[in-house]
Amino acid sequence: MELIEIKPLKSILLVEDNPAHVLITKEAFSEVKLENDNYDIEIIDVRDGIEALKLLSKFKSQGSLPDLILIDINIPLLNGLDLLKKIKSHKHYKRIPSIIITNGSRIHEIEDAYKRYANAFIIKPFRYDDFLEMIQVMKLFWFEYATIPINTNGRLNKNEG
Amino acid sequence: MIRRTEILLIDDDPEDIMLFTNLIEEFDSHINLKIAQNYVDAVDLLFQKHFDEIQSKPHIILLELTISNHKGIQLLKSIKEHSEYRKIPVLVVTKSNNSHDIWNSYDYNVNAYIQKPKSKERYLSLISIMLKFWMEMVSIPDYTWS
Repeated sequence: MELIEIKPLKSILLVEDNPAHVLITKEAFSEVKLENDNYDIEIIDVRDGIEALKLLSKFKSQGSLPDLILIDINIPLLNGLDLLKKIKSHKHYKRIPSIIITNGSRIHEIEDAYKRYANAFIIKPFRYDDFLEMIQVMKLFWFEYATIPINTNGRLNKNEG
Repeated sequence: MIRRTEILLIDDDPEDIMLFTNLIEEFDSHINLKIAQNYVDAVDLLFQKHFDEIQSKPHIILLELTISNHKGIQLLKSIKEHSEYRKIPVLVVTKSNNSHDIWNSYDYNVNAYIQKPKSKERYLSLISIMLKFWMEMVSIPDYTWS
């Protein structure tokens, strides 16, 4: 008989309209996965800000919000910074760490993002190796060291110190 | 990219302060570390002058919630409600694992909540991952440009 271990699932909402970037991000997360990771990562992608809000509302009604939100700044319908503002002014969504990711940046965007309570602002590295390293460190920081609250049903993700 | 980063550490545990200071010296000589050891010192340092008048604003704030009888959460709230200060990333690095502290911190818009690991080895690896993420990968407002 084979024993199948069920690992806890960390879910990431990726708001990105460029299918190539979605693919690369998913690839990167599976590439930095380690044998002994005690959790699996699920990436759910949506293409624009409106879709992101709809999905969050659906998740909320099911009692399981994502652990992390990655938002590309240049998404259609509701841009990344406006989506961020909606998330951070919502009673339940605001607790989800939300990271703005961009290909290049203007200084005012960095300030704007933090003033709208982005948890972090990342300029996407140009080289794939650097991008992989960024995903690796981001994963370590948020899922191994930081404590992220799960919002809806009182469940709380804690990392053992 | 080499930039001088000003870090404000608000903590009252002498051992943690020492560990942090030592590690930072090894990690990066471009870090300029300021330390406030209680609530009043931190408030003085941050709010005594107008934001624009402060010569060296911190790029990152590390905050122990338990300082001065748990006044850390009040400090977080003041920083994140301030029109200018709120853009500074505040990382709560604390011995508290109280779920109210975790929820309140995210409700008051903390950038990340981190529990101090009990073992020294893990504390050291936390600091290096934390600094690697926040200093090398994340972009933060740089006041020398503004």
